[in-house]
Amino acid sequence: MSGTQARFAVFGFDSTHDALKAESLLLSAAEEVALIPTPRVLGTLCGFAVRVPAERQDAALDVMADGGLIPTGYAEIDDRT
Amino acid sequence: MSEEPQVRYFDHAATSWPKPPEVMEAVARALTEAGGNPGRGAHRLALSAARTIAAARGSLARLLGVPDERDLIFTAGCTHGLNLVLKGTLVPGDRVVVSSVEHNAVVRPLAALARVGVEVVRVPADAEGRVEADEFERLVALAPTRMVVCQHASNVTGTIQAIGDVADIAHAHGATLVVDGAQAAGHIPVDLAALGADAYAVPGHKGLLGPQGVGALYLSPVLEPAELMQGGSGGRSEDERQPTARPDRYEAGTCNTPGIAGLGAGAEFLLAHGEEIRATERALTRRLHEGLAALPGVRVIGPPPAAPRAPVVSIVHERVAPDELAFALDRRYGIAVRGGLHCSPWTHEAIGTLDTGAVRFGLGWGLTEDDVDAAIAAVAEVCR
Repeated sequence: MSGTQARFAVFGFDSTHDALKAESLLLSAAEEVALIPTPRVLGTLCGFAVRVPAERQDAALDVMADGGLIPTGYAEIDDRT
Repeated sequence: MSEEPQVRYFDHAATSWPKPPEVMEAVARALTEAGGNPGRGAHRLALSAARTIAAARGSLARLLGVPDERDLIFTAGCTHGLNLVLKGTLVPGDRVVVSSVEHNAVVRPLAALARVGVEVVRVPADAEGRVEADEFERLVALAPTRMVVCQHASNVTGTIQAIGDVADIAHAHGATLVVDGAQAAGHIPVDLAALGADAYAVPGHKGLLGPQGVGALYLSPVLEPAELMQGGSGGRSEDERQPTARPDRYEAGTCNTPGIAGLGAGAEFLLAHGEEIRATERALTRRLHEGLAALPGVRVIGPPPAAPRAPVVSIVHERVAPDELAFALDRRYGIAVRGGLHCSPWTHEAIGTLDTGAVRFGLGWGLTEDDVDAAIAAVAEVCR
């Protein structure tokens, strides 16, 4: 596998709609964001989760809160970039 | 062998045709580069499909003035949405007050509910198909009422009901208002944030210019109907209960992504061109109404030409039966109209045409003055 291992914050949501809304809000705020299959550690909320660099966790939460979104799950994972 | 006549399509009240190229392109894209299962998995095709649905929901929410997109549920059509809110809310012992000009999409679910003990009270209409707010007030005030149901615009007469007034009446008496927007959405401005409806059902394939087999239901936060179906939602798979979060609660199973994509493109098309389209529809509707009304033996039913109406003009002729006229217009002139009762026996009963039916011209995007003039001339010839 290629890529560099890094630490990420992952947010889970109740619905696909909310996960996509989160992605849209974070992209608009120029945050580095990826949609990934929901890690098992989050249970099985919506089928995909929002991943941001761990150091951007608080900034991402602020952006989502400003858009009226509160994640329903959170985890930190090591992942490939 | 004679040449087939050019199709002049006056059946928009049944389904719009043709569709804008953008709609067909969106459907094709949903079957190709966005061809994954939305919300099931995170690979690029699945994400593309999910983004397609989210974008369509956003477009339709903007068009209809829905404050929170999550309250806009995709359905298989307007009838599906109406069944969802009626059967998911009303229980035996409830009382519902309904206009007497409803389509069978409301009439039949309510008839089924009446058979299990829901009391259904009909509000009479006048000869133009208009239901007076005072009559709603009188009947809603008679007894505790759970729900009021009223169409926004008639598929027979084009009559537009005073939904804002009906909403005020329903809410003043502790009832919720459910609206059938089948003939309004796309044809007249709809702002759900201002209208006052607690539920508003639309089809995708009529004035919204999308494909058949898709629609939407707006559910205000005060309404929490039981879902009609349970099933996969793409999340919380370990839980046997249906998720409670909107829109997933009401969208069990794989969505009709191609249909939703087309509906979203239709909504975008109307956001860009809706004002112009509606102005053209109003002008053509009035031209058709006045032209047909001037023909000997023809009676146009519904409001007068200058009154606000959805783009529907229905006629009866003193001698030529509706089915005969509709058949001749298609065969001889390529003019597509619909004769009969239009799935609205209550309306025809209210306006006195239950025994005869009528010929309905439903106008919409793509029609021209030349089409209207050709239709008037064809009716004149057939009824000569």
